[in-house]
Amino acid sequence: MDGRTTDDLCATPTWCPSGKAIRSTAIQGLIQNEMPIMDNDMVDSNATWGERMENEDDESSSPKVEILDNGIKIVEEERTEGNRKFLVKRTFRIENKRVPKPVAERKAWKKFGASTEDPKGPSSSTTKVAEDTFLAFITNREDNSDEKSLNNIPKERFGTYKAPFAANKENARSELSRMASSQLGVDSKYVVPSRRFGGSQLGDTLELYKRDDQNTVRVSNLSEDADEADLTDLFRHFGQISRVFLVRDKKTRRSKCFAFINYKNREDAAYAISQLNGFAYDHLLLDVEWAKPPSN
Amino acid sequence: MRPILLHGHERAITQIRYNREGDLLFSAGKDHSPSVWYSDNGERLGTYDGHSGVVWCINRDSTKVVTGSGDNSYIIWDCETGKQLHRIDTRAAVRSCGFSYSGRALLITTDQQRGYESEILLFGLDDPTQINDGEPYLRIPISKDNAKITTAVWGKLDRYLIVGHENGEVSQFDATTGEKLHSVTEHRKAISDINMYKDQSMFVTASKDSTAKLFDADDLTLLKTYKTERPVNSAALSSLKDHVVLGGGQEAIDVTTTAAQAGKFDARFYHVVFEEEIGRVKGHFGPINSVRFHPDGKSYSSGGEDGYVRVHQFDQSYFDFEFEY
Repeated sequence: MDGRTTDDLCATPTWCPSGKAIRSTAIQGLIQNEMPIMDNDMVDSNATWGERMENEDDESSSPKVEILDNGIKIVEEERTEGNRKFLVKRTFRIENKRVPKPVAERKAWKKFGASTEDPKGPSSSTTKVAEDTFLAFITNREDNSDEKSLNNIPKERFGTYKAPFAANKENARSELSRMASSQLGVDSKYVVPSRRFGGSQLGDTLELYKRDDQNTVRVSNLSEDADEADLTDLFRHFGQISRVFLVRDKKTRRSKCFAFINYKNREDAAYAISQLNGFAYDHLLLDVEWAKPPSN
Repeated sequence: MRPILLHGHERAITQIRYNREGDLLFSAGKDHSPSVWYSDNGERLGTYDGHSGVVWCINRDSTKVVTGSGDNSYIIWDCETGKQLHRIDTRAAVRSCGFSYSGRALLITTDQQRGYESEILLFGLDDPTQINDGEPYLRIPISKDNAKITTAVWGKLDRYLIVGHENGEVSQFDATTGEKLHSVTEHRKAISDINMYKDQSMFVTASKDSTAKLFDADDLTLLKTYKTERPVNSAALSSLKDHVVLGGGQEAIDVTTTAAQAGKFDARFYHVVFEEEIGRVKGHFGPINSVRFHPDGKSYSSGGEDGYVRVHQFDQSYFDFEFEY
């Protein structure tokens, strides 16, 4: 925050007003900030006509200010827009901080222009608090972990790593192609595009889904604190994971203490079950079993 | 993080700038009231009222503010009180303006308009007659064969200017003689913004050709390229981490003709050296027109076509984040 951490270099400190800031870094000022942390607009629609009339009498009443011990300030003001009356509840965090003296001086400036009439602190008409947002990191970590988990697969089982159901798939395919050819050849009926030529991409993806289901492990009796990352950490040692699904409450987003782990190979899934069923994890014994196929 | 929304402008934001300590945030918009805010809590300090057209640019030294407008004038204001100190009429719309680091000189560029060519005007502020009479000590005309100036900033030690042109050219002019020292055309479309690194050794350009590029400020060598898939309206370099943030989105004029999802109005963070994207922040519902890091690198602000300025304080996760290489 001092004058040196700036976007430019100071060529002539005597002239440059920020030269003042450079020289005065030792001298600091104390400022108090009201940091807006929440806005609540509440429509006062429940008020009856009589109540509204009453309220109009004390229209001039200044905003209700409440300061809590933990430095939180709550301001309730009434705002009328047309016929509707809003009760605006704004929450501030009071913050004291040390800043360079010129900054402290500027903090004491009088407001001007369109803000002349505004009271001290952020005005509700110009300053609002937005929805919570975050910096969504884009990393290639996922790829890395996949590689790692590949390396973690014990060597002796590496031979079976490739497509254990290749044979089944081949059978299914030839059957499909037989069906398709018979349909085409005999009575030249309409054939769904995905069934033509022995089932193309769509058929494959369907198969993939089915296979995924078969390789799913159900984990229950989980600790509530365990999240997806923990589960990945725990289960990836037994083979390549394609999906980790922790069941959460729709509203509270809290874990419901069970999860599904999809492995790329059925062997890996079986290995995981054999190793982790009854495993003590976060003071609870895990139940790890095959997931039952969805009943429909 | 919960961004603070500054809603003081009724129309699109054109430019935002921090002052040197970063405690004040200036915003200019297509309405006629450039504003100044306390950057830490979003409190509006005031508005500078007096323009009658689009305000294209805003710049400051610590006591004065300069704004350039589409009403063919620029105004120098007293930062503290919002009073007009000087109002100077120009022949065409003022596109960019800036005080030099020392505060001794003022840079103004004008558009190519009504038969007048695009110009760079340089005023010495030690000599009050230059501003009073509107007569610059140096006038660099950009002949009509060359593309007009879209943005300009001061270079190292106030010795030269870095200028961005509409055809994607970036050039460097000597600030005392007006001689063109270097010129490169690495971008294919108009340069929309230039931001100097804190030590003025390099700068980043944003361009409508969907890229931002990093140049050496001395000889305009192209150092890095940051690619996106939408026009980049603004780019800024962090003073704290090796990050560059790009703001943009499709042209406001095209927004209604394409799906809302395709807008891609998020601010995007890239690693300066590896040119790889680090992360994105959503929020604006229009293209971002101007984006700047706080001088301490711990927060950043963006102003968009939607008329909002959003001030973001980074979470701890941003400071903990280490780029893997």
